[in-house]
Amino acid sequence: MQLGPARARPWRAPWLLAGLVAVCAPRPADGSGDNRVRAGVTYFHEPARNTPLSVVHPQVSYSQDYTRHFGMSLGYDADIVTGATPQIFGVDVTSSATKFQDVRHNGTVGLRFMSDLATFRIGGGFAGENDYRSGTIQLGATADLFQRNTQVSVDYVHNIDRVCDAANSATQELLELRALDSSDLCFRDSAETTTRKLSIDTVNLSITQVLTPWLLGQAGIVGQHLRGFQSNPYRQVLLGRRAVQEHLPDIRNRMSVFARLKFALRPVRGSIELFGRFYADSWAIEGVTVQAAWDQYLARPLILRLRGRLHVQDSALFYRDGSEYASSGAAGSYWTGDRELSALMNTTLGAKLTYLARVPANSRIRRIESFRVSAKTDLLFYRSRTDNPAFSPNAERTRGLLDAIVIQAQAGFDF
Amino acid sequence: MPWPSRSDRTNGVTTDRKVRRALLAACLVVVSGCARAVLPSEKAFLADPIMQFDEDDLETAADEHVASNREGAFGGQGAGGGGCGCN
Repeated sequence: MQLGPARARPWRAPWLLAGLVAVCAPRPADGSGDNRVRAGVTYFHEPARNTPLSVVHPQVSYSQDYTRHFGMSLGYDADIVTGATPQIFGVDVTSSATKFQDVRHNGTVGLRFMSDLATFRIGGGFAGENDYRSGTIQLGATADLFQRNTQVSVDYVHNIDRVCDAANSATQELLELRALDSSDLCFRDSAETTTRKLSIDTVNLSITQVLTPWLLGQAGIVGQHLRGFQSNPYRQVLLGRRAVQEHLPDIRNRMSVFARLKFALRPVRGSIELFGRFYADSWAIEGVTVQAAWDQYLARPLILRLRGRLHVQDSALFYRDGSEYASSGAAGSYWTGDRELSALMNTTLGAKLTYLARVPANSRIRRIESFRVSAKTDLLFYRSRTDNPAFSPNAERTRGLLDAIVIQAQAGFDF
Repeated sequence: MPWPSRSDRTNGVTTDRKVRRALLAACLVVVSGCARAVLPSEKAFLADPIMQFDEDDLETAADEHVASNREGAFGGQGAGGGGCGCN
């Protein structure tokens, strides 16, 4: 896998694209609200000694209402990934780590149709990388009710995904499943590779309520049904002495409920947000996520945001650690080396600084209402909650004081 | 794959019951807000950017991208908007 020219200066692309959109965008409709251009770059790094991972994630988005009843949004983002990963999950996972590089591009387009009390959305997107392709269709609606104190929103997304895999036969014994060596022959007419299907349906329902002049509430439920190939085609699990391609169920049903509150701290010109989520799925993973965030005006155009997040989950029903797979084999007909399916606890601590300035009405820059520039850093801490953390998929990435870092820079304006 | 029984891990409290309790709590929060409508003239502070849920959509998308690649859970991150309630 080779990186394209975007790798040379990936942080430049979103700013240039945002500038181009800003120049070319037509004049917005009078009195309309959702007209904005944003560009940002996020850098993610896991500094594990043998399996480091770095991702550069440029993003750009544009949204504009052309009339009182019609608007459009466009978005683009990419993942430029470099790192090393163990191809075999077992008792000695790090010795077999191999280096890799990949680039994923994702583009989206959305149309919205507005009336006085409701907005209807339709959109779609396409994401592609060497070994994975994904198309999405999205429908949604939002209604403002009860003197605009209540906002009800429902969204449906359908994914049509295609995954590259080694050309294993449908009648092949599970213990003879071969992993994909490379993406070089993916989506080509080759006897070495084949394409697996994955279909995903997601429904999201949420209610936002103005509770008092200083308190907002939001609650919702999300359901998702996946059917198709969900394994990592490259990953192998050491079952006894035999390395076999990861094998996961074809069907997964997922559900989460959430609630959050936002309090205005008027005397200090700040706000506090509290968030809670419960998650469960048909692979027997249950998880709880809580988050608290504090936004504070340091001066009128300068906002500081502090955030703490904790996620705790238990493992999938068929998960075993590396030593158990090596000594006892699989639990049933499924096996995995995916850290997402193990029992874990992730903690995030973050800070963000935003400069948000309104352009005076008599300014020469008549088309622009406000500018914003922001920078943030998140510190991530991973902990395994398995019985044998040393043999968990995430063992290599939980040995430092700091397990990952996120740095983001962003700029944009409303017009 | 059918939904598994969770009774062994949760001392008899099933997933369904937990979900029902969470939904009930969420409904109570919403219904309590309907006791008295907040007037437009009272929403000045609610219109401030720091009172918007997911006010920075690029940041929200990037955060979800990081979390979804490191955790088994997904979704439920909420929806944008709120603030002045004026969509």
